[in-house]
Amino acid sequence: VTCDEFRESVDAYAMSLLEPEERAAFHAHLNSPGPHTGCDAALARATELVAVLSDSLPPAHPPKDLWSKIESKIEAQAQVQAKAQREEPKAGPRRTRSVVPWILTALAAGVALFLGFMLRQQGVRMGEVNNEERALLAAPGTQLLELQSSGPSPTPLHARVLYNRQLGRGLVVASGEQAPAGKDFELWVIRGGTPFPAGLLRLEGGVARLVVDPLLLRGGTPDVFAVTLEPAGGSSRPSTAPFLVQSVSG
Amino acid sequence: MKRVASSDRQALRLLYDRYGGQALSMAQAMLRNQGEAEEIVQDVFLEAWKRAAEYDPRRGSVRGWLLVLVRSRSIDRLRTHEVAARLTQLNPFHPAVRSAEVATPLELVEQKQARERVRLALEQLPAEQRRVVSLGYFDGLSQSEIANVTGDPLGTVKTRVRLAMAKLSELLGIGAKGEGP
Repeated sequence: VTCDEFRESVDAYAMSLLEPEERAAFHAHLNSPGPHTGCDAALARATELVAVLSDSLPPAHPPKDLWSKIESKIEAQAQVQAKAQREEPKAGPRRTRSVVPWILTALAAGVALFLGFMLRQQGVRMGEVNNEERALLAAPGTQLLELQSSGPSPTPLHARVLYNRQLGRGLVVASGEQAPAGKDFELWVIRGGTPFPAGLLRLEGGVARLVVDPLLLRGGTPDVFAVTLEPAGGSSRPSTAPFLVQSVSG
Repeated sequence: MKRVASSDRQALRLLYDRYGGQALSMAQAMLRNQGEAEEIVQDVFLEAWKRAAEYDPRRGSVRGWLLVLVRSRSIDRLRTHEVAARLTQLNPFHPAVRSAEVATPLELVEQKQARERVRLALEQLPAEQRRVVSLGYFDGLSQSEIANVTGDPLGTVKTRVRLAMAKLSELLGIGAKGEGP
C-alpha cells in the first residue's frame, strides 16, 4: 500500500469496509515508519466523518449498570495482570528468536485430527461452547485442530481450531492470558508457504473466539494454522516466528 | 487520554459519560441487538483503557477514535453471524434505536440539529452513493458485500464510497484536521 492508495481508500478503512487482508495491509502501512504524505491527516478527516455521521443516529442512553460492568472488566484485567507479573520471574526468557522458516515450522508441527465428539469427550465443557461452535461441532467433517507449541509463548496461550473443509468454515477458540501491552496475538492461515492474516486473538475474561474469514478458507484447504505475536493491531506479514502451529490433514 | 493512559479511571469515566451514549447508539444501529451492543460498548471502553497510550491525536479526535473502534468491533461481531441472515434484515436506512433514559431538552435540541445536518447532507448525495453509505456505514457491510447486494462491480462500489465520503466531508465542513478531541 502506498500513501496515494491509503489516502484514496482511507474512508473505507476508517469505516471498516475493507476486507480483513486489505485492512491489515492498510494498518501496516499506517504504522510503517514512512515517510508518509498526508496519511495521518487523511485518516483524521475520515475518522471525524465516521463520528459526525453517527449524529444521524437516534440517541441512546446506556443503562445505569453498564459502567459498573466496564469497571468489573477493568478489575478482572488488573487481577490477571497482577497474577502474570507475580509469575513472570518463573517464566524465563519471553522473547523468541527462532529463525526457522515458515514452511519448516509447518512441516515440523505434528498433525492432530480429532472429530467433534472427541472435543466433547476431551475436556471442553459444553456450557462454555456457544451456538456457532456447537453447530460447527455437529457438522459432519469438522476437524478439531489443537495448535501445538513451536517456541516460547509470550504469555500462556492455548488455542484450538474447529475447521470444516466442506463448509469452508473455521473457528478459533483460545484461552489463556492477554498478549503483552502493545502487542496482539495474530492468527495466520498458511497456504503454499504464504501466510495470510486471519485475525487477532484478543482475550477477554481469559477467552478469545475468532471466526476465520470464509474468503480465506474458500481459496483452498490451508496447510497450517499458526499464531504469532505482533504489534498491536496486527501485521500484514508475520514479524515474529509462530509459537503455536498446527498443520491441516489432507 | 493521557490521564486514561496513566490509569486514571475517573478520566475514563468522563470519556464514558461523554461518548458512551454515542458508542451504544452506533453499536445498536449496527447490531440491532441491545445485549450485544452493550457488550461492544464494554469491550470498547476496556480497549480504550488498555490502549489509551496508542491514541494519536494527529489521526483524529477521541470521539472518532472510539466510534471507529465501535464500528470495527461491531463488524467483528457481525462476522460471526451468517452474511445471508444479515442481508435479510437490511433496513433501508437508519434502524430505530430505543433510548433507556430521557435526554434533557437542550440535549434533545442539539441532537435534533445534528441529526438534521447529517440528514440534509445525505440527501444531497446521488441515490447510488447514498445507498453504498447506507449499506456500509449503517448496515456494516464490507465493500465486497455491498457489491454482492447491489450487483455492481467492486470497483464501482469503491469509487462510490470514495466520492460519497468526499462529498459528505465537504457538505459537513470536515477538513483534514478534523474537529479536535
